[in-house]
Amino acid sequence: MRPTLRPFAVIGVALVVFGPLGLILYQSFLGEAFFSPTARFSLGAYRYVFTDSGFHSAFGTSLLVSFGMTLISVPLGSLLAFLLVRTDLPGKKLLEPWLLVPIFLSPVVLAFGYVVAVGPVGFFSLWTKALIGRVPWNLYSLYGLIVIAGLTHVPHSFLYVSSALRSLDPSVEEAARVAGAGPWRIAATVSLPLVLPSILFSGALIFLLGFELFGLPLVLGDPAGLLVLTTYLYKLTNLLGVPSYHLMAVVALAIVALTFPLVYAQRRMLRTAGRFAVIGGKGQAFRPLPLGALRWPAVGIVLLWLAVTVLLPLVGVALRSVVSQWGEGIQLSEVLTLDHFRELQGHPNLIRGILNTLLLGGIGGALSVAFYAAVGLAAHRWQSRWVSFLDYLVMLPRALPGLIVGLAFLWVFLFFKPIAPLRTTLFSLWLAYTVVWLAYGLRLISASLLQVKPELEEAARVIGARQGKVYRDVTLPLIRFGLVGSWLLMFMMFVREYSTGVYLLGPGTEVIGSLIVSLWGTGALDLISALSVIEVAAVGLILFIALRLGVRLDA
Amino acid sequence: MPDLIARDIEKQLGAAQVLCGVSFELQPGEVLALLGPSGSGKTTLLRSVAGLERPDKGKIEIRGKVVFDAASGFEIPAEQRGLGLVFQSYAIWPHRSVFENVAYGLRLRRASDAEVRQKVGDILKRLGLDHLADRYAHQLSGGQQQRVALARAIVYSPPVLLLDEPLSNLDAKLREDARAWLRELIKQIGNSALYVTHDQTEALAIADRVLLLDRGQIQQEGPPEEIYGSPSSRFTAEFMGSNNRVEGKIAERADGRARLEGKGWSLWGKLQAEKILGATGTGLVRVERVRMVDGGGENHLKMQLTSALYLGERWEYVLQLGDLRMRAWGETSRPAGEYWVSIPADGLWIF
Amino acid sequence: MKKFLSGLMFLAFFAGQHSPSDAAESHPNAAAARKEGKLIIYSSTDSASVEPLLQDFKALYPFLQVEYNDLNTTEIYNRFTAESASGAGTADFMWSSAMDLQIQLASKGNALNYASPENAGLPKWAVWQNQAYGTTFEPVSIAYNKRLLPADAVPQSHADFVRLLKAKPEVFHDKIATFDPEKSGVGFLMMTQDAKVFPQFWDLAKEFGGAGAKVYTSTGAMLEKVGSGEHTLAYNIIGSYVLLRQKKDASLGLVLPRDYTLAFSRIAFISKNARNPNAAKLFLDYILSKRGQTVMSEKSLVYSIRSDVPGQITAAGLNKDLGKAVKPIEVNTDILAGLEQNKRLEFMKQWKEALRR
Repeated sequence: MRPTLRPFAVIGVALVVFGPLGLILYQSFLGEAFFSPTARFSLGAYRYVFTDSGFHSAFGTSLLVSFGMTLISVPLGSLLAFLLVRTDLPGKKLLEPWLLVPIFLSPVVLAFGYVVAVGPVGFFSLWTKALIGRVPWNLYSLYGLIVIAGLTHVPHSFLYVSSALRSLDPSVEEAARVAGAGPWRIAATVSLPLVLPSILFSGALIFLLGFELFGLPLVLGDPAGLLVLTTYLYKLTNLLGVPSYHLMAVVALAIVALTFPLVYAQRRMLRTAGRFAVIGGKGQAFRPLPLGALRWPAVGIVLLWLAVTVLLPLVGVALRSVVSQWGEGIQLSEVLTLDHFRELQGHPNLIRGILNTLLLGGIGGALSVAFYAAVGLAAHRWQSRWVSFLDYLVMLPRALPGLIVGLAFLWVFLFFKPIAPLRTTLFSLWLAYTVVWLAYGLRLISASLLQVKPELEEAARVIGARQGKVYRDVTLPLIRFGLVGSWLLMFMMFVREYSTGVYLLGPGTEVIGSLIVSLWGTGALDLISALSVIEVAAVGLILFIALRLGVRLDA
Repeated sequence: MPDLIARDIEKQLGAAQVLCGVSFELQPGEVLALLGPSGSGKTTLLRSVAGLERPDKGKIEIRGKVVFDAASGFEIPAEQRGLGLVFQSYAIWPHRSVFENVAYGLRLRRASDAEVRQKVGDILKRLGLDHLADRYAHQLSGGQQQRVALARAIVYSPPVLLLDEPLSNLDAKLREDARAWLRELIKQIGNSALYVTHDQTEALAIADRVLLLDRGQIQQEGPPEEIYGSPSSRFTAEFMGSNNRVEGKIAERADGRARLEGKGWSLWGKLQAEKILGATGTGLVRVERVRMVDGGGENHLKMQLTSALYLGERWEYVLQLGDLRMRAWGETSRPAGEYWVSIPADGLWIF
Repeated sequence: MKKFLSGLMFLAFFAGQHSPSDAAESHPNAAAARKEGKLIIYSSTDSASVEPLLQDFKALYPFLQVEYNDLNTTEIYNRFTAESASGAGTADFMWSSAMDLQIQLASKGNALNYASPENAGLPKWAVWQNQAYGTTFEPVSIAYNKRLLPADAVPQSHADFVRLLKAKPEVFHDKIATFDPEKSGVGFLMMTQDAKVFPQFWDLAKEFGGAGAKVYTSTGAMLEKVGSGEHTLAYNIIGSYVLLRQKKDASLGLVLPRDYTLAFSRIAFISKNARNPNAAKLFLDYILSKRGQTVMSEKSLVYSIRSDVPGQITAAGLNKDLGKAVKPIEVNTDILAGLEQNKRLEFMKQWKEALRR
């Protein structure tokens, strides 16, 4: 790309980020929906929201959930990372991809699976009840929500801590071994302190993600009357009996005000984390720390987490999709059926949704990767204030829950007449998705780009190739594999997406995720389970292909 | 006309002033070595010539054409300077075959397929790589990659060849063979070359002229023998060769010579810097000039041999006298004891 | 002769085929609708229920391509208002169980003034100014789990329910589900009507609180949980949904409370700025017609509002069964009282206190 074209890439990104955000800001200062002819400037929305006890309690609940899930997922994730990266845990290679699976599963699907599995009349609950006479847990409670949220976010912590542990110079641990320390002492006094920045970083990330939870609290919090900020926003629509866009805008901004500093703090932590990494000298293979008698218990811990976090809900979903009724007093063997899947055919919007999801994930994902690559290349090895501006820019959509970005884009398409016809096409959804995953996608691309040694590009330049030709002949071919990997990852993320499409849902823009949320509202659980099985199968297939190709899932 | 002229090149990177006003000329067919410790600015200088770094001040001309002038803000980008650059890490494109790597420069210059095949074939043959034309980088050894990098840089006959520590990634043994072969090749091709290295032996062996840099400034410039045999600064003297250092007081001065005095010893040497009587001076003498002799004389000292190390090709002796500590080389093993040691006055430089 | 006969049969066959559309062609708006060719519906009636209606409609008017959008009541309202205000294309036909929201929209001038020829077959209170039409007459009922709720604990009336809750708290603890008036428009509507009609409503609410009743926003979710046994009773469920569900789940039971049963009506209106107004008129007339209402009652299991429709799942059937106990929620602007900001919040506050939340 010619140097003069680079700023345009940044401007393009600025447009798609500030556009929706600006509209939210504008809306928050109006007394009614922005398209209402009587809308005027008013601070009423702010007044209402900030004095609403519902908002306060939703805020409090969000805080508690964030804290709670961080306290669960960070220690567990770090422990699992240590076990899998640094010790001689049996079956490491087999277990590792499974540890990352929850990231690729839709939270609504998971939540739904938990209801079927460990809800008050879940199959597992009923077995437990048959065994010990009662069900000792309550899924629909604050602690239920926190535990599930914590367990499902273990992979996030695992990712960062494991990659930090991998980049440690093994000689620091070996020095401790030679001096006489056992594996646990080494873990506590050498390895983990060195990766402390990564641990803290993942903690900040998970804390941030806690504010953006939507699917889990929607399904699990509803019956207990628990609201978090996102479901509070979702509920606002009904509170006044008419949609209260101005209130929603204020809540959206409140969420951003909370999450943006967290994102900012995170980025600074990421920099310090980098400083601590002691990159191994010659990349020598290190000898793993022996666990001795703790081997099998350690495997037990890993398997237990897997069973609770992955197996349980997925089996729940699968089971529900093939039974016509379920619950107390039902003999499962008597109610097996494939009707739910057949029933899908009778709903053209659902079939469309499945096709749209695959389309959006496959082709949309590829287009998004192309977009991210263009932006990434523009920022590649470019010393300029534009690049730091881009960094900050990218943090904004990161701080917004998908739900709000979808809403904002709905408004954008309604507000700007020229692009209005596109609202009912997949384009609107693709645009929203691309913005939501901007930070993630760019990170994937830049990770690939960083692997290209500068000399390879400089060599081409000195020989006489212009910048554009250098990208075409050297950079892009070298990140080919990274691009394919990024595409597969985006494919999975897009298929799993559910909150961004909620407000953009309509004929032509149905996708499995938002259909599930909408169907959840109507309680058509058999359809939901059938759709969920299809979604999980799709994601599973792509994950399998990605792993086969050797794509690294950490980013 | 010089192939390359660099004038008053200054460059700041972050807080450090990496180049503080360096000027030099490269004559046609000449091999100029940029020698210096790490941080001396030699690589930055090379990259500035290539156009990969932009100096803050200065002017660069290639065969009379200005390619960079900080004062007027004029700059020809790297891809248009037409130079050849061999990277320290070779930078062979892993996704292209050896042939395609080398052919790239010709293809950019829109050479015909026939021309490409002929020129690439020639150069590969010359460098002993013709049987590897279809291989890829990961199938090549370090030495082979280095030659591919070289072939790629010279196939389109650039006016100046730039080499950034091309041998430093090779094993020590290979390096010795390579430097002879490399010099031969460069001379055969006949283009001028700018050669960056931190290894002084390599610089002395390969270059026609050496430019010694320290912290962004030229310490000394001249043919290798001069740099080695007639250092004009303490830095140069210390950087080159293996040295013994003696510290003492200037006791006497007499036309270009001075006598350095210490606890129990005194030596005459060549005065290379302005020193007044009574000031402290540092004397440097190459280890190979210090010899064990049979008896006394000017600059002969009786020293105690404390240990003898076997280095394979020779023995190294550690000798002491008072606060004086010297190393000397010899052919045989010697037992500890007192020996006469000669430190020739014309080999002792006093700074 | 054979040829002649077969030719006759062929003609007769064809003639037979054409007769339904002959009847259709006689509809005054058919020609104009044919030109429009399309119909966009936003409706909260779920696709499974509405399928028989749509198919029958298609048989009548095969030239119309119907785009049926199954959305929840809030989504319907949101999208309609947003799209209308921004001039984007929106629904031609709006059909929602959120009576208050529909009336709201109609009263704000969003509905086309159209006197349907089927008007005559509807009760007077079901038509508002020839703009908003009540299309169904559905009882608000109690659903329960036959397997798990003992027969003597099944309430037969609202008063009965209060009594049972007081007498057998252990049976009902954590086992009751009902609508969340805060999050569900329909739920709010039903409860405010309850409060109007039932003097013991706030007692009931307090008993709910004591029994740890759980609130939901969707009938489907509640029915699912009653079916599975997570709850054994769901309060204020639209009867039609229970009937539909009973087809799949034999353990679901239905109670129409004897002291009073609210009857609620899904309201339809044609959008004033509809792009396909004639097609919309055809559809409105269809679902209000005897034919449409019969399909609705027999196939979709949605209680029809016309009095001349045969069967149990009809207004007539309900009236026969419950007599004076049937309390229709009338289609007029009285319902809008609930949308009034302060009253609404006041109700919510009281409700929350009663539930001890």
